[in-house]
Amino acid sequence: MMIKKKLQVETIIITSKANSFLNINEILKYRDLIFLLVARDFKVFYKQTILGPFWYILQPLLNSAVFTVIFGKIASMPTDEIPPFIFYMSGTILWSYFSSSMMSISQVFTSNKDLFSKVYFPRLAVPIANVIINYLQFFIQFVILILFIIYFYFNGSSFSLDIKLLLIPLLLIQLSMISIGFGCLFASITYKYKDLALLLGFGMQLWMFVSPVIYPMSMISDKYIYFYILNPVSSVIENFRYVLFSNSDFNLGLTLLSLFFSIVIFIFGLYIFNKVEKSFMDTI
Amino acid sequence: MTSVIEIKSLSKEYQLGIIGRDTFYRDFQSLIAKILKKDDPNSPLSGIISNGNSNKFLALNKINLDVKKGDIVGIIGKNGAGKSTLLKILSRITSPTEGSIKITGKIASLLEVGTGFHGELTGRENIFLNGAINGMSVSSVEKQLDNIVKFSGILMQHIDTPVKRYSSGMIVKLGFSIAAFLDYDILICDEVLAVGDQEFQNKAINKVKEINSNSNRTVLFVSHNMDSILKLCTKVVIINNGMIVHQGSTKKMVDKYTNSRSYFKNYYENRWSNNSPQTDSIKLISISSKNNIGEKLKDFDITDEILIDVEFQILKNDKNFCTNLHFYRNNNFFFQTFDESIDVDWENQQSKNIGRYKQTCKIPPYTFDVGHVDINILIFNPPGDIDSSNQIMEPKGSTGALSLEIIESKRINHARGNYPFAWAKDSLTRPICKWITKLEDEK
Repeated sequence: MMIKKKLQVETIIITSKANSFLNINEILKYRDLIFLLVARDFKVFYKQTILGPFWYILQPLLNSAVFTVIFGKIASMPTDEIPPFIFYMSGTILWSYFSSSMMSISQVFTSNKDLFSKVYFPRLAVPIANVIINYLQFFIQFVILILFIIYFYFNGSSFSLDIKLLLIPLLLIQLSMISIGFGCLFASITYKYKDLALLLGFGMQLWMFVSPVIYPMSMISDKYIYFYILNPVSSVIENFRYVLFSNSDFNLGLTLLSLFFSIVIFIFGLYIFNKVEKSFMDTI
Repeated sequence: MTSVIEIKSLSKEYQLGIIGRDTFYRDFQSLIAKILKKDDPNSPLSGIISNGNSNKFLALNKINLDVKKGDIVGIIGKNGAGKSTLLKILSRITSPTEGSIKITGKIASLLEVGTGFHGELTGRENIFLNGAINGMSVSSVEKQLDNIVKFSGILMQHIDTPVKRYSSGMIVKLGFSIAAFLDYDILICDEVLAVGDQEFQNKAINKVKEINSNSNRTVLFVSHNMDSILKLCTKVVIINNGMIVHQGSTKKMVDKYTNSRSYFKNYYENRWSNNSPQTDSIKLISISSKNNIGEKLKDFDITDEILIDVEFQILKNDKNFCTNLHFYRNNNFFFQTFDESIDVDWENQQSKNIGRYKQTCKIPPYTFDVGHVDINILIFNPPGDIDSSNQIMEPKGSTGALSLEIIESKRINHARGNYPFAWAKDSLTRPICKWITKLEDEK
């Protein structure tokens, strides 16, 4: 048998300084690991539950139903002429994508410390796998949303689904950048200060209420609009609804600002994560 | 031969956990204090401790090591010597404080077998996952799959069963088998060859040998098992207190390590069998430590009385012998004690009868402050024979015939108790002194 000669010999230099920032080559080398981590999480989730992936469907349906009753029927909040159930469902599935990726990424050090203490691989593989498994969840929920839209269409509501739908992956990428950025930042803090992890669950809830998940941006008076500009998630949700329902005008300024904040937080989160990942084992 | 691992003055420093900086609030407090240029409320008693280094610990101290291609290097040393820290830095789990390592070639580290195994996944799924965790692609695991399963001895019909149904032996065998077929140039392993039954262990050692000789791969191997070190290694490095103290050929180093008691410090008993220190008229048998209820210990609470037993055999009834214990801390001689023979006038010393003797030296509580204590023993003929061939001194240096560890007490009497903040700097001794406090003037 012929032995293939390796042309390239890997050289690793280990010093006290942090690794070069965001080594994409290295992450690509571990793409099989990312794929297998996603497969593992999916299989384990599937094996340990009775309903399996049906949970992905049940959760937004229940949420939307509750919101429809409380905010739509009881509080009579406006939904930009969109059927309330569809409105809440669109907000909920996007928000639950964001919050579940945030939560899992922010615990990456604490929940993987047994693995991280025994073997080296680019730690960022785990957050990336988390984002991908949540894409899967989102995809299933999105299909359900489309089915509901079709159902409502045949029951007299008017929808105009068009070519804009192709922009949804871009919105998801932006939302993943925000969740990786904030998630990595929180992971780098909570591995050391475990008490902040408690704050995060509570904080996510508050964050949902200050994002246009259960109400449209059009409801916000100009006085508070600056506050929404600072929250990059609000533009993603608004644009998601715009793409689906064309319910309001596209706000280019808000979108660009939100994009800018998303990139800043993404880079900042990765930078901190990169600094922490080298020596967090000494503290955890 | 080219070097594949070059370690240059590598150090790793750990912060000793005196102050638990684990809440955001405390760090924030310290940060605010720093900004306002006030004393840090969480610093370890800045007024009392003059040098701030007292709560740092060097797990590795300027290590230099060159590993050549194709070597199988064994790393030995007692617990806490720094072996695992070195492996952790080499496998990039933690980073060094100073110094650098240059590694040429693909490195696989095996600090544990079956890292990342998930009980719900099948054996086959875990093989792929574990391979990927160690940097192997799915396609290269695919090629080795049959070899892995065959080597592990797991029946093909079991490979699609979740590993939670496997016996623990099957899991470690499978874990090792994956590692054995990984594609790497350098393998780092920590005690993992001691997995499974005797038969599998031999198989594992032969496999590593085979990997090494067939493809000239390099292996770094930590073990406490001198048998496997002797079977496998071409070179051995002895680590002690974070430093490489010796390196050389396997046989020589293993002999050195097993014969030198200083590497086995912290044992409550040092009993000499055939190489006991002796002269024509006396032979030292053992030295050991226990507490006042007779439990043999090496760790003593600072409030404990420490009993040192010395056993010796008088071979000739011609002299008296006096035992003299020397106490060292950090290689500094800090006090000594003599047995009751020196209470007798030098002219009236009686020679000891032939037989086996046991002496007990009671060291009062609080004699030593917290820390490590090395004890050397000197047995001489009062009034002090100049001729050293008539006396026993063990050992010759300051490494200790016996070592103790004095630990802080949880009791409150004259000790730290549950005092919540940093405690005063460790000193040599902390004797109980009589203190009298009186109120002199009520103003």
